[in-house]
Amino acid sequence: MNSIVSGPAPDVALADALPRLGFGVGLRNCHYEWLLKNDLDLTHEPSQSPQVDWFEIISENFMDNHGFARYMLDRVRERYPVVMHGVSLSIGSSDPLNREYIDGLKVLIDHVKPAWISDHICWTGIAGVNTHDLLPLPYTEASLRHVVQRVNEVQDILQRPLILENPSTYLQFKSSDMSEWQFINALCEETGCGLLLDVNNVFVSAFNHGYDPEHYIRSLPHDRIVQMHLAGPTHCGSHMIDTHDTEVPRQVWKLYQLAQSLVPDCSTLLEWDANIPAFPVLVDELNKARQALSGELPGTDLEYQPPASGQAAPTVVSTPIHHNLQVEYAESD
Amino acid sequence: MLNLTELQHWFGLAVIRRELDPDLLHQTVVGTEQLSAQQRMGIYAEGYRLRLLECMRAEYSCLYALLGESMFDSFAMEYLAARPSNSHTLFELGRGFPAFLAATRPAVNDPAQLRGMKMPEQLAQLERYRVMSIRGQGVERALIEELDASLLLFQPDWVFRLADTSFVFDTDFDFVPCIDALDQQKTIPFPSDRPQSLLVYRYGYRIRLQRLEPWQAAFLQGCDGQAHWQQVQRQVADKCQLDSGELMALLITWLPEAVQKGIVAVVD
Ligand SMILES: [Fe+2]
Repeated sequence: MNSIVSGPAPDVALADALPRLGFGVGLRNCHYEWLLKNDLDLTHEPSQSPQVDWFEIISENFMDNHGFARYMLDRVRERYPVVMHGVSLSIGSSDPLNREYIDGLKVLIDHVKPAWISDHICWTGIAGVNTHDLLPLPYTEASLRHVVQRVNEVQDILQRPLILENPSTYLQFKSSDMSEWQFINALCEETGCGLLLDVNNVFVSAFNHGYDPEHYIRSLPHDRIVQMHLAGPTHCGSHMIDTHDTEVPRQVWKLYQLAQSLVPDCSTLLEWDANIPAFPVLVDELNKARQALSGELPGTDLEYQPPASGQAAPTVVSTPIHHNLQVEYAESD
Repeated sequence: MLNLTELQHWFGLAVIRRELDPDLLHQTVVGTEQLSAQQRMGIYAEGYRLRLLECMRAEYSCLYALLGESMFDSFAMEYLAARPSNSHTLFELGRGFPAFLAATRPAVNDPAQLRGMKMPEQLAQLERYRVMSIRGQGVERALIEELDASLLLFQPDWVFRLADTSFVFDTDFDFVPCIDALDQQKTIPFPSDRPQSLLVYRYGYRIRLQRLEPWQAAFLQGCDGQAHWQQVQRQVADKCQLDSGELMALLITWLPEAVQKGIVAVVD
């Protein structure tokens, strides 16, 4: 891994230089108890159906956290590959890179030894204020120069490629003079960074902006894709919001089949961050990815469900809190 | 056209401060028939507000339940407006909330009314300690030596320190039934007036809350990682006006238990 440094993408596909992890889920604190009694219990009989191959953690939830979460992370690491997924790198911000954050990330990397680390193609704050949201960038030559320079800098500090994820977006800037996929192609080409393709985000953004999600996926640099995200969004009629609070809809499974046909055996991760179900239900949902790869099309179509007459539309929050940070509730017995 | 820095400052003001110049909005953001530029910007502004509010409600869940949504949210929104997040982690978001509540408490002259006004800031402080206790190093993974009364008596120079998961504080209210009800997901009673010292600590990765006797509180507050424990014992005897021998007897019984429960640790 240390041989991979910043600069133009080498000829070899990044996915070939990194392990193929199979099918994973995000590590969430509501599943700790179940995991300790089942998947992490070495005396426990493994169940017949395929389980989870790997876990993704939200890096910020484990930086400066030395309690039960760290204990669980260590237990998980003994048995499973772990990937670190961050939400605060703010690679697109005009603020200087946050060295304190990157140093903290480095400490966690040394501890976790993740298969790779990822964050998002976005910015999260300005003037020292963090919005804790994944905010959209204008796709211009100037933004590209800015992000390329910062990706190179971070890759040099961390001595590993960054894997960056396409975000869900709700607006586009008039100044953008290239598409998101053109921006991603150029970014990967110039920095050698990898791509975390969030298939659900493509679905959400394509609906919100009226472009063709299949064309988007076909236009990406497939040799730079090392991981895929799956999740369920919320349809609000005029737009969709990336809520990670439900099953993956059929339209996303269809896009996933396309993406996997272009990047076979790409590591897959199911994100579920609000209304999180019990672990076995999560695994059932993850197993639909295996089903999708065998040619079946799982799930049901996501359609807009207007609120019952007289009822207000429910409040919908993008990028749910669990995605950012689990403010763990104090437990008692 | 705004450059990247200008655009992000402008966007930040629109989301964080809800300051939006409609002309600039239409010059900057694509609006469509499906969704106007204003609605698109609104998704981010509303998301920002609700996400951070949700975080504050989760961290201060007992106070949220007691004050009710509208009062809690108005305090939390005032706090977030005054102290927007400047950290990479949402764990820092609520750090200043107890102090903010204390600093913005309305001035009243009546002592009873004043004490009532302090309830939110004191409960917030308790809840903050609980969240801090969750994330501390604690002693669960450390090797704890068995300690007993006779061993202690022969070690007058031993130094104790509070674990980074233990917090001692004085309050005017009895919050124990409130936190018990919160943990058991029952209706939270309003705390009664009852000045006391409380201890938040972590044992077996569970967060506990305990009422302390005045001598226990004074002793724990004296465990600064420097003073010999029998020095602290003498100070506490003076402070609490207890007979020194009597306090010693209390301490040699209680301290081994406090070490075993991870409340305090012996400094090497
Ligand atoms: Fe994602």
